[in-house]
Amino acid sequence: MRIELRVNGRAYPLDVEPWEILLYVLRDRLRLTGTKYGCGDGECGACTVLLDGKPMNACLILACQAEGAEVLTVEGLVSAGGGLHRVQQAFADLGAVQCGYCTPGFIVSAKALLDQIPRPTRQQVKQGLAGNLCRCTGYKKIFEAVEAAILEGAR
Amino acid sequence: MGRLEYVRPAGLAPALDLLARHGGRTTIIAGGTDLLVQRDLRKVEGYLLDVGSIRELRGIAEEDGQIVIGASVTHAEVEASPLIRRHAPTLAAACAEVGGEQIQNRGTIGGNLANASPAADSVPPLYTLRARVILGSREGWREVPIPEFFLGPGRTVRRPTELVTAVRFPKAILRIAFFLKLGQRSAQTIAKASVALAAAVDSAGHLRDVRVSLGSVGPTVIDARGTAAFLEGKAPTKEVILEAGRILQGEARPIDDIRSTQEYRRELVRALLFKGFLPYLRG
Repeated sequence: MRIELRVNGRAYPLDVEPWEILLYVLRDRLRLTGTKYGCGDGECGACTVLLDGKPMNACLILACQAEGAEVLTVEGLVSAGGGLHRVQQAFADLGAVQCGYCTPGFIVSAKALLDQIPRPTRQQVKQGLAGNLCRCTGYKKIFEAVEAAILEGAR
Repeated sequence: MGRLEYVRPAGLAPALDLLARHGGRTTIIAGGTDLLVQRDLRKVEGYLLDVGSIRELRGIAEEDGQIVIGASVTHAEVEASPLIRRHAPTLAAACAEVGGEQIQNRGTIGGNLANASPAADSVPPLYTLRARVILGSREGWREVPIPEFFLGPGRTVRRPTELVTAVRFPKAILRIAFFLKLGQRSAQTIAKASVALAAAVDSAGHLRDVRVSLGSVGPTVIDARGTAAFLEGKAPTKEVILEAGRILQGEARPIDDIRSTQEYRRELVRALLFKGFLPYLRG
């Protein structure tokens, strides 16, 4: 079936099967490999993307269901001039990345969190990111990076 | 490989028409957070009916003293609704417990009902709200009190020609209300057991119109009538709640499974009831 996906501000006309999952269409057909496959069943958040500003697991969305929405992947956070989003910069500055596999998912979730709650408490950060799992860092630096991004946004 | 045809109607009539003609070979998808985990759609034939955009199923309204939630309203939308926070705070709390943000932004109330997991978080609060599930078909409508909607794990009274269109419950003043769930983790977790309770309080401080339900400790959510009957008319003292916990233990029908054991779950429901009452204990 013919659909049009809007991803990171661009329109992509595609021919997809009804059963094709958005995660694989993004990665394999659109070559946007920032979004990761972690578990495939919505438990880890590595595949987090935004649809109309709301974080969702791309592994549990059919590509045809995403038609009509504005999809944002981690690639879409980089500005036209190549500048990193403040959340990305904070993760890099604070060393909140070890293997890096969970990182795109966390960054996309954190961006959505800060768009919804500009100055979250630590508890709100934890709750907002509860759908993203990290096996390396123990989360401490991830929360600190999100909090650093709050201060950056406040300046 | 057979043919699967995806349809996403904007209105209810074409959806009900499709189900009337082809309900037996139609798979319904809303948020997809249960369906896409359970089934490989490459192996499914027939119609794939996406109900997520049907306008009549989207929205939360107040009508004649009732709150009506459209089946395609997401858990996130229920949680954020000022109407739900005011009149059904345990339902809002339960929707905030489903998975994490990502799941809550896709999963719907209708899907949570139709999927009929005994561990579904929204269901125990809906029992305490005395909710009714509304089923629509081309032939008309019917309402089913929620305890009659579920037949067993994954099974409901919905016929293949029917669609869960909404859930509704009367607005009520319930001064005591809680929903507590314990899972392996604090988020992204399926309940080992859950307890929902709602009650009014009379001028003497006694519990009235008590409703208690249990999740994850039976083939369906359990309407704990024995516990509710015991609590009716009593003051919420420590002794009363401890005794209620013993009765509640007896009403649970847990099994051993990958998440927990029968023995632990019986202890857990008692503990959750007591924990829920802690802010309200008297004497």
